[in-house]
Amino acid sequence: MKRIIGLLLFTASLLSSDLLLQIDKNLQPGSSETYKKLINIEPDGSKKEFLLYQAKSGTDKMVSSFLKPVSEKGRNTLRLGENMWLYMPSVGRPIRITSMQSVVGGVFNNSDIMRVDFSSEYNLVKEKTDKATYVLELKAKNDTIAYDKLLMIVDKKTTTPTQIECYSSTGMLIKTLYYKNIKDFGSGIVRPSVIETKSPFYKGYKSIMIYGKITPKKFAAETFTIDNINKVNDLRR
Amino acid sequence: MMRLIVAICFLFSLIEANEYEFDMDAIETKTYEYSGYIKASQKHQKTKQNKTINSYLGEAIVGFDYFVEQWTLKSQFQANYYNTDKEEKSTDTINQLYIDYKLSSNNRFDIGKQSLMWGKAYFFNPVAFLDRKKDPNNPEASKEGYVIAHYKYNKSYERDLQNFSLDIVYMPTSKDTNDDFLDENSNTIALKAYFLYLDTDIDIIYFHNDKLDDKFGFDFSKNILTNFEIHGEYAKLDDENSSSVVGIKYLTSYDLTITSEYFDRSYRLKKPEPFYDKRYFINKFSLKEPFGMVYSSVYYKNSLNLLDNSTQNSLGTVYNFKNNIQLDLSYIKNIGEKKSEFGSKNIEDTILSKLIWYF
Repeated sequence: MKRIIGLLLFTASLLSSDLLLQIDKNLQPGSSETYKKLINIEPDGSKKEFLLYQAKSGTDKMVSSFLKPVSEKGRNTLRLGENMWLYMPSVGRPIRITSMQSVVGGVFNNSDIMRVDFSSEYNLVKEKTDKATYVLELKAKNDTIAYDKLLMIVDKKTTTPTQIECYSSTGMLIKTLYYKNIKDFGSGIVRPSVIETKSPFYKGYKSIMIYGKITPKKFAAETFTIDNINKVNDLRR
Repeated sequence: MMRLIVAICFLFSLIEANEYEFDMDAIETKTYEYSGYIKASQKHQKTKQNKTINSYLGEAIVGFDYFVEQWTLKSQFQANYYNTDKEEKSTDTINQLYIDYKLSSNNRFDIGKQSLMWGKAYFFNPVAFLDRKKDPNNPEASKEGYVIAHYKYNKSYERDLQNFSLDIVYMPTSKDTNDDFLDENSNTIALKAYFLYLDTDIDIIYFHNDKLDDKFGFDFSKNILTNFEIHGEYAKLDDENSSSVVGIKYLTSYDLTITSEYFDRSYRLKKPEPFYDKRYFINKFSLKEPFGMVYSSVYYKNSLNLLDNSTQNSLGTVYNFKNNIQLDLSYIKNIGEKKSEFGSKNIEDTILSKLIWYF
């Protein structure tokens, strides 16, 4: 009997990790380039916009470059697993940063902007299902991950998230991400094009991330090195 | 009534659609790029004799890059204007002007004037053998490079050694070229080997000049916790003398960044140089978004001369406006005994305001 239960649990865990992998695959191909816009909206309705270019390879390699506003232009970030570096033209060399820091100010932090695959950072610990959704509880694989626990609601039809609640290790809700506006980006990529974020720490503030273009693309492994962190923009040519 | 509700719903959907709009023209690539800033600063200083000095400073930096296939032309020009107590001075500098050629994803070559910015520390970089010395009070001010030829090899791996790169640099000096490095004919070869090994950045540096002593350097940087980074640099300058820095960067849960560095030089220089002939402990505390004010920060910086216990203290605030303008206001106070480094300065305190417009 114990063997049967063990086998069932093992099969369930395999299926669960398959589900997380499928979500990752649907959100972004393994190797791709993305253009996205971040908008910070203040309680008085005023806005600040940022335009970002990102290149991603595998499950845990990513580089980002701010294209707008001009005061942030050339501010590049590299993520290699749990390592993160920031390059600022005024400093002229990469410096190590943490995933909890916010590069742009406002509700989004580095981890939200430099999001790599969920399956590389989290284990699926609980899963509930109803007619239209899965409700997943994800636990960070180690304490270097920005959020200790995620509660993810996944739309069964598209196998993409509709809402993610992000919690700290003390169980405090840090922010909620709302995935909206399913869009066909071509090359078989159909995913939410908008992520809205609200946080109890930023009352009245709202941040929006809008995906403009996602294209599958292969990059040399050396693209994701600190020697090339100031050359991210060259990838666009 | 129904029509009105439908019209209102339509209007709201339009507003939301507009909020989610993405301008595809904004991501078009060009064969050239430019960027820069104009900075206006005002210093209001009080001397020990109770005299007031007002200084006005202007700084403009323009960077221009041009791209043709594997070739890139990179340049940066700087112009400065100083009006110190009605005495005027102006300077202009070519900070960088070089051509970069990408032979492959593993090999690059560049030639011209550029800064290499070696080292891992924020305020001092003993291993930056081929860069101009930083002013620890304004570490980002040093932007001018030297004329060099530079080859770089870069290779990534899927193992404990995640990345390796090798820099080979040749720098000549003469009465006309790189004369502020050495005012006579000489040749420099410098090598830097970089390793990203077990999530740790490590550099090993060797410097050889046919007229100067050989130098050897080592630096490292590592996140020992997700919010706690340590770094260090060591430079062996000749048989007797060395210079080193160790530091940390720590981010608290309420967005306070603490940067601390201890700098030591094993001897007093024959020719005194500001900062580089003493022992210092520098601490900077920077709090992001105080009182929930986004795009702002407050900071306090303390530079302690460990030989005479004198200090320089800066308390300031930075605000980034939405129209690419940044405002930086600070108050700087020198404290120390009469004969100490900071205590002997004729300026007692300074109110410094900087307005920067990025374009």
